Parts: sequence; structure tokens; C-alpha cells
Amino acid sequence: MTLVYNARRSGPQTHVLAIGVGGYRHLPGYRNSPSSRQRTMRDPLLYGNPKQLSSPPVSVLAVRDRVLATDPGAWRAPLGTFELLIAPHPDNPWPAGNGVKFTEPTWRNIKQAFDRWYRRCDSPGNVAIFYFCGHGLEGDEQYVLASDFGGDDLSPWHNAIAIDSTIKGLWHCKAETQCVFIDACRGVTAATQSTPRIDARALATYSDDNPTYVKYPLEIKAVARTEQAFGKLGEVSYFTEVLLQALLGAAAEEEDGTGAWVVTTGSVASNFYDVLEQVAPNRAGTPSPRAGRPAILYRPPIPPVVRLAVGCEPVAALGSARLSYRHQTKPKKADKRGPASEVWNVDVEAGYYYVAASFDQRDLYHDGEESVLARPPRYCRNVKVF
Amino acid sequence: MNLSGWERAFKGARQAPAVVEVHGPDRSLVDRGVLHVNRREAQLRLGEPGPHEVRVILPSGQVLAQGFVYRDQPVPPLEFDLYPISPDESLQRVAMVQRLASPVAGDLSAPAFVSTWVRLWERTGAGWHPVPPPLEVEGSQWLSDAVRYRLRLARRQYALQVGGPAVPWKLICLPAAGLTDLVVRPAGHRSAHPLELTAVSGNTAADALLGYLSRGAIPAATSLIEHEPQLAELMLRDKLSDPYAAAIGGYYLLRIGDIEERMRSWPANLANRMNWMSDGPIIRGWQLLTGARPRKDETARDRFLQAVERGLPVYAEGLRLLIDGLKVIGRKARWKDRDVQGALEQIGPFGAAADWSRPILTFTGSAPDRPDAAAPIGFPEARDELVFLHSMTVGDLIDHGLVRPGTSWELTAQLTSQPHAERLTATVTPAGMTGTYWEYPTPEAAMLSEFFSTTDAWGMWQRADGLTLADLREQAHRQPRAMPQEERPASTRTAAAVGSGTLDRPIDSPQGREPHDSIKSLATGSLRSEVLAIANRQGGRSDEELFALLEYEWQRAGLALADRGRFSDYLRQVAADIARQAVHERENIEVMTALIADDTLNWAAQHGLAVDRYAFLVGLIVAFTARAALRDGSGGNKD
Repeated sequence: MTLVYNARRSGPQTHVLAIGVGGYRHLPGYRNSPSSRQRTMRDPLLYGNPKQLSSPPVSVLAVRDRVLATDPGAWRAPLGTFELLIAPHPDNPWPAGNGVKFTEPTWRNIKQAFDRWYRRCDSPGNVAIFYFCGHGLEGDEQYVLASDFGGDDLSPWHNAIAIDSTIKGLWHCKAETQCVFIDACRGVTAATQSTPRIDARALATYSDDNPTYVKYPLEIKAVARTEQAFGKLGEVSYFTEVLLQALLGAAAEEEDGTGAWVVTTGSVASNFYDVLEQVAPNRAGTPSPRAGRPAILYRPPIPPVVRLAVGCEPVAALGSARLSYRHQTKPKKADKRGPASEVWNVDVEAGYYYVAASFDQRDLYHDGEESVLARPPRYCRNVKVF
Repeated sequence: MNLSGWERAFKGARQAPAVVEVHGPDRSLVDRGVLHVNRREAQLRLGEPGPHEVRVILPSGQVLAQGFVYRDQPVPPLEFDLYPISPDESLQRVAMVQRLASPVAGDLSAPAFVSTWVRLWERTGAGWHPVPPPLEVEGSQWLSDAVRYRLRLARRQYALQVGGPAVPWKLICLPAAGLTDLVVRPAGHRSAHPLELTAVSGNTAADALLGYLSRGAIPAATSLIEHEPQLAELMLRDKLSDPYAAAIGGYYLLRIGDIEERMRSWPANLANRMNWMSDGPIIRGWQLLTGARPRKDETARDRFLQAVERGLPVYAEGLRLLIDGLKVIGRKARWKDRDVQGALEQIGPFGAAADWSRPILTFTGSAPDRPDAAAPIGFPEARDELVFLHSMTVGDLIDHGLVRPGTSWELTAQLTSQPHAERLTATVTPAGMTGTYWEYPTPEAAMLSEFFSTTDAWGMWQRADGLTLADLREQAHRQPRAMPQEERPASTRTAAAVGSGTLDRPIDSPQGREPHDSIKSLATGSLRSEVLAIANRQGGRSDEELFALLEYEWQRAGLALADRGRFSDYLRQVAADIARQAVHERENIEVMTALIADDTLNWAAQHGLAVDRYAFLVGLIVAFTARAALRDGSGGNKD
């Protein structure tokens, strides 16, 4: 069963296809029984010695849980369907709890799920969201690996997916808003370098004979070259955590004309780096999002949270300053702090605030107050006190 | 409102724009415009009385913001300053358009960057060749944590390459349109490559547009075009005064899908008239693929082939579109179009070697036409037109032809306790001047350097004609090697040339086992023997001592990059992987060690470490791995 959420009805809707591959049948470490036909592929070193992965099943379940926890009506095009394929890590066969099974993301199953998802998306006004987490390799384009990759020694690339070609092929889908998120390594190996033409297949192919419909594209791929840059073992990957936070409010901006908080394809792209800085400041690799014209994806039902950082200018004043903030129209949203040597970091609801610094003795510094519009994900203001 | 930047950083640069927004009391956008650095004020509308926020959205993604409460009275001008965005004033122009890595990313005098070299390549006709970098000396700077080159380039394709004993070779294409700034800095612990390369052209409006485009900030890009006369003129009136700006404009229009109405014929003009650029045919090719009317017999196929024939696009977006476009054409012809197949084989490897996080095409490789994802390390065999980036050894000066062995140098500073008649001297030998530290020619110089509180001991060593080592180092920064090839003394450093990655002769093993010949190997038989010898000499060390030594040598070689995670974990994992493979195939202890050596050298080859310089390090890995294999024959299985 792959459709974990189905509220399909007529009219524009958001349809999600999420794939997490942790268990790879033909890679080292898979627990094959003696009677099983499955065996480890020949020469995995040629492909960078990929191993079983613990993060993708956890990451894709996080996507499921947090997206389905939202109000379906908060999406600009209400949430319609969520289709999910997972290959668990061999050491953790029940990532969602005992007895909860998922359809394995073999190439065939992925293709079938993709075709179903494509047909659901294939209507104007729809929003198509594709998410993949698992192994990836970089050649002339990025390739991601289905769970049965390596099963055919004569055609080793047969169960890999050509992602950039797939993205181009998606342009023929009538969903005008198309979001593709790829959380996979971009490792380069002897195989990707030495193979003249990698014959991995795309899930959809572009043809100049057919019209294209995409108007609001968004494509973000993790750029990490190695698995170590992925994230902590058995936890949601950095990229996925950043993506979820951005999508569900940390990348919100003010809607033109209304000032309401909205998450758009453009705001996710342009704020991705700042959210990454908050979630994983010391990790390698900054994704370079590709976006076109912006389209609203999601309207957070409550104002997003902002990490407000209040300091002083000059910095030396911080040690004797009493800092405070108060919301400009909600006076109860206020707080203060006594003198300290570091910047004051506090989570607040997005909006207009006064931030202030005051001093018991004003011989060196003067009290200062400034108006700020704290917007996500992080807003820094040093109050001028000289 | 005004946007201020360091005058000298923006001297000669046109426009230097940034989009500015005003948000009113209900947070909605009231007005949007463009500010120019150090130029006339910009005036924007305000909303109803109440709190307002003004944001300057830099192309790099950074935002400068100020708020105020509007009370229906004149508002004093707001002043914005670029000072906070850059670690050094001189880098503001670059930092404005492309976010620089962590403000304090490291020092170029660190051991990992010693002997890092730079070479400029130019494409003329169908080939690339190195050329002396046309440095604008006044505009170029050598800071402790950055080097900024200002180059005056002609209208042709250029690529600048960096490399070194601990720096994988990397190239960046340059937007050659008059004056071009290129900044080289340590990339910090978050990058897979130790150096960050950032290039900006002389056209800051185009650079700004590229910055917005590369972050997906399309509304800001659109505002910029609407408010910048030069860009608007380009887009709407088919003026091709700046082909790089035209190319960025073309990519922008492709990105927003505005193909037919606004693009009209100027992409075809760009492709035809700027016949040294690849970006023009790429943009035109996609314009045709998406329905534009062709001229005469024009086809998308021919345009993409033309792009490959001309060399490389300047922008990463161009490379992506070119590969995708060729695949569309190839697939349509069921992969029977040999020209398209050939073009894909030629351009495809750039995709694997590219750094897709950078907007300007940046890739690892040994030359602009030889991308290589497993980047070489060391010096090229031919050092034509090579200059040094920052720090170097005395031996480098010898190889550069600036110092001859046998010349005598005198230490110009001395301790007061030393009799005046006794001056310290040193003689340059092929081994370089003796000393404990690379940057101090002798221990005495190191001591004196600390005594006189100077960080540049090279400035204290002078030869008879008055030139100091520091003077010569400056020359090595700016001028390629002076001495003809045949007069160069033999380098005393170990050979480190690893050019194009052609297969060497197979590694022989005692038992006649052939190495894995489907993996490119840069290792030679002599390296293998040396590695085995080093591994066999480690018997006297305990496991802990051996691993501690391995960790130390790994760090010293500058290989502890963040992309590999905690390096101790990384090294253990490498050893476990290799051991597992060897244990699987083992026959006896001697064979296992040989197997481990072979597998380790294969691993090293994949990571550009199969060279003499790293022989000791690789030998330690072999030793450590062999012990791990003996201890645990089953190996492990972790992410």
C-alpha cells in the first residue's frame, strides 16, 4: 500500500510522492538468506562502495508525518494525496513500528508509483511534489538508485534513475507548480567516470514535440559528495530537516498586498541557505536551488517562529546592557534580559517588535530602541547605543 | 536612502545595484526599487503611518534591514553600509554578489596551502593553452586570508586553475569582459574543496542578476531588470554591448519561461556574433526546443553541437542546459546520432566534475578540456605560465627560476647580543635553505622573527643585490617562471606530477595477482614497493601509536576536510572497507598484506592520493588496515 493519504477530489490539489531507500538488496550488508536469489552486486567499489543507509527511511517518514500533520487546507492547493515507498535499513526493518510495511522502491515500483502520481498531478492548478532520499551518483547528470540497483550485472545502471532528465520530462505534466527535492549524495566514482553513456532511465522524458506546462518550478538537491555529510546515523538528514522547516514556515515571507505569511517556491529557494545555517551550521555543502517564478505553496496557520538575535552596536556595550523586546501590537509578547557577554537569542512569533538596550549608567552608552520586522528564519539586530 | 561601500572596491565598477524593499505596518510590500553603491539616493514610497521595515536584498542573499515608525513626518535618509558583509573592505564588491564562505575561513599561510599555484588558460581556435595572467597590479591584493586578482581579459574564453601539493586542481571559467575580479580564499570546514573561487565581471548589474538568479530570487531579479536601464535595454532592445550580461539575461528568461515574447531574436544574434562564447548557442538551442521559430535551417541540435565545439559555457546553468539539451536530441534520435553522442561524451564528464553550488562554472580537472572528478594533486609536469598563489618554499623559488642554488643570503636583522661583525648567512641549495619551519628559512630567522614581532621572516633575508626573499616571493605571485626549462635545476621535492590520469603499467604482485584494471590507477610499481616497505616498518608501534600517527599525518597533509566528517571516523571506515575486501579474498598473511596494499592504492587513486608525496600516509593506512583485518576477519557494516 503506497497511498498513505487520499483526499482526492476535483479542483487544484497538492500531490506528494515520497521515496526513501535505506535497504539496497544487492549492496553489501543486505541480509540475504541462503535460499534467497539476491546476491551482492559485483564490484560495488566501482560505484563508490555504497552501503545500506539508516537515514532515508527515517527522513521520508518525517516528511510524511510532518506534512500530514498540517491542515490540508493550509496548502494553497489543498493536500490531495501522499504516496510513499520505503526500503528499510536491514537492521531496522520496521522504521514505522512493528508490522507496518511499505512498498519497496524497486525501479519498477517507483515507475508505477510515479506514473500514478503524474496522472493525479496532470491538471492545471495542481502542485506536484517529488521527494527522494537515498543513494545518488553524479555523472553527466545526477542518478539516484532504486532499492534493486545492481541486480543485473550485465546492465548495472538499469535500476538507477536519471533525475535531471526526469525533471525535464515532468515539464509536460499540466501541474504548473512542480517541486523536486533530491536528498542524495552526488558522489563520483570510477563507474560514473569510465562509462561513456550511462543508460539509466528517466521516469519521464522530455520531447520537443509535446507542450510544456510548468510555470513555477522549484528544484533543490543536496550537494554533499559523501555520506558523511548526509547527517547523523539513523536520524533525519540535514537536508530533509532544513527542507521541512523551510516548507512549513521557516521560509515564510509576507504576501504582496496582504502581508500574510506565505511559503512560496521562491521563498523556499532564497531562504534555504539561512535555514540551513540554523539547522546545520557546520555541515559541508550548500545546495543551489533552481527556481522560476514564485508560487504560493503553503500558508502557515499561525505566524512562523523567528530566531531573534538582539545585540548592541558597539559590541562592547553588550556586557552592561539590559536588552528587551516587545511586540508592537501584542504587548504581552515581551521579555527582557540582564547584562551578558553574548548576543541574546530568543524565539518569537514573526512580526513587528521594538528591541531596546538600556543602561544603569549612561556615561559610556545611551539607551537605544529600534523598530524591527522579525521575519523567519533568523533576524539579527544590534541596537545602536553610542 | 543610500548604500555605502568602500570606494576603492567599487572604483571603476558600474552600477553595483541591489534591490530594496519597503514593508508597511501590515507587513505587506509597499514599494520596491534599486539602490546603487556610493551613487545617488533612491527614494521609495511609504505606507500608512506606523512601523516600516526597509530591506536591501543583496544578490548574495544577505539582507541589510532597518526599521522605523513613520508618523506622517519627513523621514531622515536611511544609510546602509556594506561593511558587515565582508571580512575585508576590498572584498565587498565580490561579497555583495556571491556570499563568501565563513568570514574567518583560514589563513593562506597555513601548511595546507603552501606552494599552491595558479594558472590562467585561454582558448584560441580549438584549443586551450596557458597564458601569463594579465594582472592589474594595482587592483590585485594579497591578504593573509584571501588573494584578489584583477585581470584585464580580452573577449575570449578563459579559465583560471588552482592546485598544489594539498590542493586538488580546480578550474573556474571567467566572464571575460574587460576587468574581472577573482578572489581565492580558504573555503572553511564546510566545503569539499579547501579553496573557494569567486569571480565577478566588470558589469556589476549582470553580476547582481546572476546572484539573484542563482539563489532563486526571481522577484528581485525581475525588479532589477525593470529598474536597471542597461539590463532593460539589453532585454527589450536587442543591444548586445555586454555578451555576459546578455547570457545571464537569457538564462533568466529561460528560467521564468518567458521565451517567445521577450527573447525574440537576440539569442540568435548572441550565438552568431559572439562566436567565441558557448552560452549563446545553448540559450538559442533551448529557445528553439521550446518552440521559437528557427531561422532558415537552424536547429537546436546544431546549436548544441556548436556550443560544444566552442568550448565551455561560463555559467553552470549553461552546462546543465547543454547536457540536458544534448540528451533530449540524442534520445529523440534513439542514440544513433554519432555527433550528438560524441558531444555528450565530450561535455558529460564536466557534469561529474562540476561544483553545482557555484553559479559560474567551476570544476576539478587537469586542464579546461580535461575535467576529472578525482582531481589531481601536486604540480603539473609542465609549469608554463604558472604563478604562486600565496605562500611557497624556497625550493619553489628555485623551481620558479628566481633563485639559483649556491647564492648566498644574509640575515639583515640580528640580536643586539650578537657582535656586529657576525652576520648570519645561508646558502641556497637545491634542497632549499635548511630550517625547521617551511616559512622560516632557518631557526635563527624564526627566532628573530618573533623577537622583532614580524610575521614575515622572508623579508629579513637579503642577497647581494639587495633583493629579499619577500621581494622574490612577490615576483612569484605575479610573474610566471622566468628560467627556461633546460636551465632549471632538478627539483628536490618528490615528483608529484599526475596529469591526465592515463593508465600506468599494472601493479605487479608477488603472487601474480593483477590489480583491478577497470579502475583508473595513478599508482606506479615503485610507489607500491615504497608503500609496502613503510607498512612493514610499523611493526614496532602499538595500535594506538600507529593510529595516532596516521591521524597526525592525515591532518598534516591537509586532507581532513569536512566533507569526510570526523576524520578519525573516516579513516577507520576506510580501513574497515578495505580490510573487508581483502579478508574476503585472503589466502595467507603475506597475500593479505599485498591485497590490502593493492586495494589501498586503488582507494588512494580514486581520491588523488596515489602519488609519492603521500606514500608514507598510504603506507600507514596499509599497516593499520592489515592489523584491523587480522583482528576482525568479518569486517563491519555501517553507514
